Amino acid sequence: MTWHTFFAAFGNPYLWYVPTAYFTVATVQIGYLAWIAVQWFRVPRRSGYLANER
Amino acid sequence: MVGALWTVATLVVLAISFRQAIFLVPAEATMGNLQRIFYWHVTNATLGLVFPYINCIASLAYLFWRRRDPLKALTADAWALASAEVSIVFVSIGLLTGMLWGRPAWGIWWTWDARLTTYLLLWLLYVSYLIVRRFSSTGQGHTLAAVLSVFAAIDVPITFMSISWWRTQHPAPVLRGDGKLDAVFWPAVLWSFAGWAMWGLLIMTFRYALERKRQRAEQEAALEAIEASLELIQ
Repeated sequence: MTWHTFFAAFGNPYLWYVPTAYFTVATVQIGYLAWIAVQWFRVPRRSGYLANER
Repeated sequence: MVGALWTVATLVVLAISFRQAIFLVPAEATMGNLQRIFYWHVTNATLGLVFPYINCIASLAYLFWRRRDPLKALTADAWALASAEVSIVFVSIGLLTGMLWGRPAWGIWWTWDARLTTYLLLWLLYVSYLIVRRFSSTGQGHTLAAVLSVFAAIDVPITFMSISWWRTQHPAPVLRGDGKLDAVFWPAVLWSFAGWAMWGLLIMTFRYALERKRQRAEQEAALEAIEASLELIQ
């Protein structure tokens, strides 16, 4: 396959499953990573209490 | 620094695996280009059978330390949660890409054969694990979830061996056993395994760091609340 045939496969009734499967893998994995990143900024910042900063 | 290098290396290996799988290895004789789904489907689905073991080991460590050393237990619990979520990610991909391959190859999206059913059961068990952790109102949610994860791990070897033990719609083993994969396809398989294993370890570590951050914030909030209540009494 080439880049052209890879993307052209979306229009092929027998082959559209191939690029769809690869985009599904990428979407799920990157989606989970993005969810972790969003949650990282939602957890409150540490006050320093446990580090004896007060 | 190590994290940045690992991230860059992971992305490079994944790019190589994509290039191998789509552009370099030849089309398979029977299915043609459709067979290219195999490389990322098999690797992600197989890793969905590996991360549950990390979850099982971390859960056993949590159960061992929860009374002896609560701080170590918290660390083990964070690894257990991270590996459970990563397991669900890989198993979900295994199910989705399997259906996307099954429809053109078999003419059906799904069938209740032993491999597919035990694999779906694995997904349901780890979703149950997260639900128990999140919604248990007994105060023992993490302990119950840890016990559940030990039982869930029993499904892993059953799923792995199902295509050898029973006659299934799913193909018999092609990476082991009689119907061995031709040598020309192995580079794509190995690069994909390496790339997705590195990615899995990367996101599991990110998720672990997030859970540790949440645990510390929770501990600090609890200690500050105790201190505030003591000041009120004085």
